[in-house]
Amino acid sequence: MTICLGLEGTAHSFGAGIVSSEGLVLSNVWDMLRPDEGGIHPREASQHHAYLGPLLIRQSIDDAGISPKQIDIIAFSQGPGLGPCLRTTATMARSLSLHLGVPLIGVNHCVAHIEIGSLESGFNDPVTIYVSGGNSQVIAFAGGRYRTFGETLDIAIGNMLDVFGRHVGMRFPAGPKVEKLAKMGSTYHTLPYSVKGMDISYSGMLTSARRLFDEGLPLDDICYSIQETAFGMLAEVAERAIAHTKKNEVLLTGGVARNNRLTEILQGVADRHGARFHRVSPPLAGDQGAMIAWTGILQYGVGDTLEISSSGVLPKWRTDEQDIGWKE
Amino acid sequence: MKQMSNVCGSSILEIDLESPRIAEVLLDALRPETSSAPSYRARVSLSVNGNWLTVKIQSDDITSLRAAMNSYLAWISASLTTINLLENESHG
Repeated sequence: MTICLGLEGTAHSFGAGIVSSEGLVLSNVWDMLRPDEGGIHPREASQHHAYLGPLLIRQSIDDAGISPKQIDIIAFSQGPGLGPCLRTTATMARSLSLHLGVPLIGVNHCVAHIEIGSLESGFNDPVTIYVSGGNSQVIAFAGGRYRTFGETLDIAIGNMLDVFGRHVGMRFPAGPKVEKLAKMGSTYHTLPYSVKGMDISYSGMLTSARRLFDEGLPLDDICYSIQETAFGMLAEVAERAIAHTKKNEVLLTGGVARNNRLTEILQGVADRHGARFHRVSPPLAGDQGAMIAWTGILQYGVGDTLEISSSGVLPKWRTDEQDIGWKE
Repeated sequence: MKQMSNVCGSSILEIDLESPRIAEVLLDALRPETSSAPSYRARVSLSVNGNWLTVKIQSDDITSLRAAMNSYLAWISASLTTINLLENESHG
């Protein structure tokens, strides 16, 4: 059995998770930076990771009930993400790898969200809807890579919700509060529905929603309208990807996967196509170390390790830029 | 004659890591960061002598000098704390 310690630190959260090669999550701990006001400042987030990271790493080892010597691999989120956060995480990962004398593996954060969802669901080849604060993509495996069938052309859906939330006085993260208010809304107000081919755009919706709020429309109705429009756009792209690829599994992953209305809509899309549907469980939805650890194990199995000298971070690493050697 | 680079400030951090091995670990762990962007405003070189890790920073402006110092100190602190916590656990 191989045991991997995975470190996640691409943006607002630092996570440490330990997973075995049998797919058992032995521990998974994380902490999210929640500013009193405003959004995430990269330097503040990196300081958060530097301060809490060591404690979370220690806690993950204690929770797993193992000794450090039993760790066989160190995996870390090499990208994409915020530069200062990535570099802080990478430095800790390299130190651990060197100190323990074990291999180092650089993991693509987006690929990790897909793989942990596949692990939990048992899916082999899903169309994945990956939605978070920093990413909004519809992805499917083809030709040795996870191909981006559709993605946001400007801002991610989570970012759109957070920026709107900031405008109306919500603290980060705003998504759960928007969802709660949306349940109380009932009047739909037209917002820009922007699907361009297989890609989507949320910046116009954000501008329009802010204007509606400034004009005094009820916030719960605006939140309801945002969700129905934004999620509808995702559903359209996802449905087109399912029809095109003819895959019979649909996976919803990423932090925004916690949203029940989005889940309901995508479940409906899957049902219409006779496809199985899975939404990752809340502990595995947001940014966490277990997904990095599991993906690290997959990469280790095909010899995809890093030399320390070549382990610089990749802030703009795309999902479709990594060869997925462990899938056929 | 025009200077090829404009150095506004420099700083040398010398840290006693109490072990040549730990000093070498941190040297290798930090080295990839000396070539990561953005490096055009601050240039960093690293070296080890016994227990001591030396970080030399040259920068074009005070802001980037401070940022580089903060970054390297945070990385060293985080890495050292992580290693120490593992060592304490294994001896506990």
